[in-house]
Amino acid sequence: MKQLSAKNQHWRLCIALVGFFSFVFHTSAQEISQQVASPTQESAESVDSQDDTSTFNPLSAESWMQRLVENTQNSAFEIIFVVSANQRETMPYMWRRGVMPNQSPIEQLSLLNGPGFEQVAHMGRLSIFEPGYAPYSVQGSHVQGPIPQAFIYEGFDLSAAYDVLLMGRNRVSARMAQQIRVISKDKTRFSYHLWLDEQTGLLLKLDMYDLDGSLLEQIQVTQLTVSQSVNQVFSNFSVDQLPQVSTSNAQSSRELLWQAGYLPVGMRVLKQDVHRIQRTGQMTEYMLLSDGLVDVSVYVMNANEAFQEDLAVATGSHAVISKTDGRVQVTVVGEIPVVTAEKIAESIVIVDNQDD
Amino acid sequence: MTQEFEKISAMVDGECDDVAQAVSKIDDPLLQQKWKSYHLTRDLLRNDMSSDVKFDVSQDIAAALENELAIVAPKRTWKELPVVSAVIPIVKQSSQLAMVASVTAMVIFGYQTVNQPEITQPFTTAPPVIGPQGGLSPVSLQQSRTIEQDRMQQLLEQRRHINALIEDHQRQLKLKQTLEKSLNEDDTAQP
Repeated sequence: MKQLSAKNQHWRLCIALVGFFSFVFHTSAQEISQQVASPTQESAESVDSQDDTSTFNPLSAESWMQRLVENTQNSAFEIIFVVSANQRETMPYMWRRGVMPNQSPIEQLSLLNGPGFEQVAHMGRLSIFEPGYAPYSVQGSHVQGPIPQAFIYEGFDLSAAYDVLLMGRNRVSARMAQQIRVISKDKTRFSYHLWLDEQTGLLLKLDMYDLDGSLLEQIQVTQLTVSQSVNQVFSNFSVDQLPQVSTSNAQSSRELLWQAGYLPVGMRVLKQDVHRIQRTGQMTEYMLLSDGLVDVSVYVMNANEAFQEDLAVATGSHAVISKTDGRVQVTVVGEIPVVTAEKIAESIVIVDNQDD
Repeated sequence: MTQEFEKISAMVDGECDDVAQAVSKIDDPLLQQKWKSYHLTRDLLRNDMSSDVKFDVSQDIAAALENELAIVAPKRTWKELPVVSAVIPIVKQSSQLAMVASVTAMVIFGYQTVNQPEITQPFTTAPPVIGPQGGLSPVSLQQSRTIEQDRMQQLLEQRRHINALIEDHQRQLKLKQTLEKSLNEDDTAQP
C-alpha cells in the first residue's frame, strides 16, 4: 500500500513533468491534426445534412447531377458567374432564383456588361428584354443562359448520349467541390467538366472542351449566395406587367421529305417545320435535333448567291456548316464540333425534289 | 613438434606406413590428445559424428573460474533513494515523450507543407487556356477556310446569311421550351 501511494505521487509528478516538457508540442500537434482532419469531417457532415432524398450516393456521379437539379429548383440563391472563351470578351452574368410572396417560383438572368439583356421566368412564362427588340414573352419555365439547361433543370435525359463520371474533389471559388465529367458516348460532341459545391450542391464551375481536349468555354461562379433574403428582391417585381406570351405555338410542324442519315448517338429529331428566317425573309425547311444537352438546327433551302460553295465556320463553340449542290443548300448550326456538323450535313438524304 | 603433428595427421589419414614409429608415439600425452582431436575433426568434416563422443571441458572451466575477477558490490548512491529512483525513469520517459511529440509535430508540419500545393490546386486535364480576348460581339466569325479577297460583296452577303441562321437557331432554341411543353402536357400542370 505504501508503495502504491508513493507511485500515485510519482504519477502526479510525472504528469506535471510531461505537461511541462511537451505542452507546446502536444497542443500544436493536436491543433494541426485537427486542422488536417477538419475538412473531411466537415464534408461528411455537410453531405449527411444535405442528404434529403435518402437515395443520395456521394460516390455516384448521377446522384450529384440529380442533386444539382433538385437543389437548383428548391433553393433561393443569387449567383454571379463569368463566361470566358477564346476570341471573346468575358461576360458577367447574374442569376437569381427565389419565390414571389405568393410562393410561386421566379427566376432572373441578367447580363451585367453593356446594354445587356434580361430574362425573367415566372409561372411558365419567359420574358425576354433585349436591346433592339421590344420586350416579348415565350412559353417556358426557365431562363436560357450560358449554362446548358440539361444540367440544371428537370426533364432532360442525358443518359442516352452521354456518360457521367465522378472525378474527385477540388477547391473551386474557395469551396470544396466535386468534379464531374460529362462525355458523349461516341466522342462526337464536346465534353464538359462540372464542379459542384459539396455543401449546397450548386454549380461552381463548368468547362467545355473540344474533341482535342482544349478549352472552349469556361463558366466560373464568382459569388454564391444561398439565402431566403433573395426573395425580398423578387417581392419588388411587378410580374403582372411582364409582356404577354406573343407567339402561340402556331408553327405548324410538318413532315419533311428529307432526313438525316447520320445522327450522333443519343440525338433525335425534336421538331420539323417550314418557316421564314426573320432577318433575310427566306423560307426554309427546318429540323431541330437534340440529344438533351445540345441542340442542332438543320436548314434546307434554295441555294442563293451567297452560298455558291461549301462553307465551314466556327464561331466560338458554334459550328456553321453549309453544303450546296447549286440548287439546294443544307446548313447545319449548333454547338457541336465542325467534324460532326459536317457529317450530319453530308448525310442529309433528299427523298424528293423540294423547291419551296 | 610441428613435424610430429604432421605425422600424426598423416597417420589419421592412413598415409603413414612406418608402423614402428607410430607405435612409439602412443605414450606421448600431447600427441595422444592431438590424435583424438584430429579424429574428432575428421568425423565432424565427414558429418558422421557419433553421439557418444564426450568432450572433456571440465579442466577449462575450472581454469576459467580460477582466473575470474572477484565481484565487488557497488556502493549505494543518492539515485537509489526510494523517491528519486522512481522519478528518474519518469523524467527520462517524459523527455522521450517530448521528443516523440516534437517528432510528430515535425512529421505533421512536413506532411502539410509537402501536400499543401496539391490540395489547393484544382485538377484539370487540359492546360488553362485564356487567349487574347478582343472586344468582339458574341456572334463574330472566325473563318476556318480562306476565301479570295475580290469577292468582298459576296462575303458580306454570306456573313449576313450566316448571322441570320445563327440568330434563327437561337430563336428556335428559345421556342424549344414551348415545344417541349406542348409535347408533354402533363408536365405543364406543375409550375
